[in-house]
Amino acid sequence: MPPIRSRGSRKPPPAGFEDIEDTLLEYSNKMRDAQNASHEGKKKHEAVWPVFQISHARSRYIYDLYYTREAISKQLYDWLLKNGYADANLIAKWKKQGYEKLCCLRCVQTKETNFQSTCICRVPKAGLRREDGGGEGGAGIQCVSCGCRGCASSD
Amino acid sequence: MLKSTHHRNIPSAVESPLPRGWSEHKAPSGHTYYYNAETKQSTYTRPTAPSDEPLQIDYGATEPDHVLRASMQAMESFHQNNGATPEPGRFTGGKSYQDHSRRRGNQGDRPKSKATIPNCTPWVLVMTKLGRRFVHNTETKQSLWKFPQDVMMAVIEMDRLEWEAKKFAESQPRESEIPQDEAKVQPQGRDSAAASATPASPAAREPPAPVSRQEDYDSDSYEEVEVTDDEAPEDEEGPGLPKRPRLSQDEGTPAPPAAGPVEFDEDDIAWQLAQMEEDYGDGAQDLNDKEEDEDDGLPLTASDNIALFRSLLDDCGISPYSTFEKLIEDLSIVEDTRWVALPNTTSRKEAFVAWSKDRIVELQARKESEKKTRDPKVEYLHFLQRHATPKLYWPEFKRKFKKEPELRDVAMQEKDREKLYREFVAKLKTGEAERRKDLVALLKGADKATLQRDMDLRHLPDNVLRDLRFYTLDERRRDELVRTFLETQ
Repeated sequence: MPPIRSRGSRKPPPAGFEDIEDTLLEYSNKMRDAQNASHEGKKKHEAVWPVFQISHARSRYIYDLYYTREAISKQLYDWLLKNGYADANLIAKWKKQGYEKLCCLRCVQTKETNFQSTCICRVPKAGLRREDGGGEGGAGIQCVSCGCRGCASSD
Repeated sequence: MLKSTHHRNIPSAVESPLPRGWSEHKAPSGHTYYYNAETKQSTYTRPTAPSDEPLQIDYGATEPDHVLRASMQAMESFHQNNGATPEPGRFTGGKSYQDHSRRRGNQGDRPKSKATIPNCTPWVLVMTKLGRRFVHNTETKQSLWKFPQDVMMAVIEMDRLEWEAKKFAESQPRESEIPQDEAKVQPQGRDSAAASATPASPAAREPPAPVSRQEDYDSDSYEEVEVTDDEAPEDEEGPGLPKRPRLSQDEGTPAPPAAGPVEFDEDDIAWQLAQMEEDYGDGAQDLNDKEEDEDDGLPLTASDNIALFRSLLDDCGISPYSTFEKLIEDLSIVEDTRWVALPNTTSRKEAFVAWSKDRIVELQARKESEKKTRDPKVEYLHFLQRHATPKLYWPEFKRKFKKEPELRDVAMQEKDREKLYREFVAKLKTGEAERRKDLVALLKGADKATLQRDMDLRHLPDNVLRDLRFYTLDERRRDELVRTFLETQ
């Protein structure tokens, strides 16, 4: 078994990490809360939604910091990806046209689904009929895998 | 500045009950808004029932934020200008002025009265309707929000005299409510007003742009809340003037400390009317200039709205590295008037991202310049000089001081710290004479060109400052030694 390395003994993170440390810490606290939250009263698939959502939000934060706000260096960005602060595969999808708002990777997975298609949350709001969801124009839907209410780029 | 208005804002909103027909709701964005089921009207501002009780003015309150006021003013003017095209202001006398103000609404600020400043002949002090004051030079036709130094002194003197006169003249019980130091408070308030009015006013002078329509500063709402006992002179004078305190109460911001007593009696109004008649007679042209400046420019462009929103972001003290969601969590920001300068959350988010980008660039530039001044190794060595002792092994030392910033600094690695500590303690175990010798050797080894006779010890060359041997002696003795060494150079 490899030795457990504490933060002090590791190589320090690239410069600029201390600026975003607080926000990342908040995300990790939220994540811990979500992981420890009780599943009682929830549907089976509902229990993991918050985990997906927090991980999405954190990835988005880092993606924004690097690509939109240009607040962090390439070095730090790579380090964050390597250390699991953001999901590199998800970010890779966001760079593709039509996937700019993708909620999670499971929602674009067509294999092992009933109709060999993507998730309901990938359908643009305009294409949903009223009866599809509880609300107007299918506004009531939440996808099974991550609780997304719609992540089509045209929405 | 902003915080202060908020703290006073919230309780007042809580206390006053909603009029009949209105109900309170929460928007998805976290805003509280009010909806009237009968009129199908919704507004962000808390509607208040027109009450009969006399106004209560918070005399302790400071002047409200001018950026805030300018923004509300600008929004109001936007509503005004939506329907009718704005006309250049004209001052032709009391009557037409009144019509004018009715058409434009009462929110727009404009010169109201003017007084000559004693001992300061070309300058006159002009009071606007919202209680702001500026000085106008009748010779050069120059108007300034920021008082020049000499004028300022004269105005303060004038204020003092005015207040003394008022105190003697009026011996009513109401007067006793006004604190004695009001005269002192007022010039202060105006100082800050003069300072903050300058940045505020340019924001208020731009052409129109889409603003949220929720802000319900309808001029009608001011008409109905009018509560004064002297009807007749009031009508002559126009609705704007004596209602100013009420108006600001309506908005939930504390009233600016008025120059005179808040309730006007007949004499006051008569005097003021005469004064205004006089002013408009001779000074119409001057005021006209000012008026055009103020009114035609009032509506805001999109960029101004963004600037307003950015000023909110600057004031709220949020880190630019933070997220937009975090920003929304803070209720005091969401409830700020500047928050609704932008119409929807998407545009706010865009503005936030742009703001954060700019701020981060600034921060990084600043950091770049600071980088040279801070060296983690030097800090750590200083720390060792103070705390290291041969009595403690490294793990013990580490445990004892694990909370200290020097030991938590991520810029330095744990193993470097350990290594330095061990070396340091090994040095401490040797005799003092030996350590002295070491230090002298270090100084001798340093580049002669970098050493000067009376240099500050903090500005010694890097290779000396970063060396362990520089820190092993007691600080006082070391300094003595280094100084004597430098003098012999």
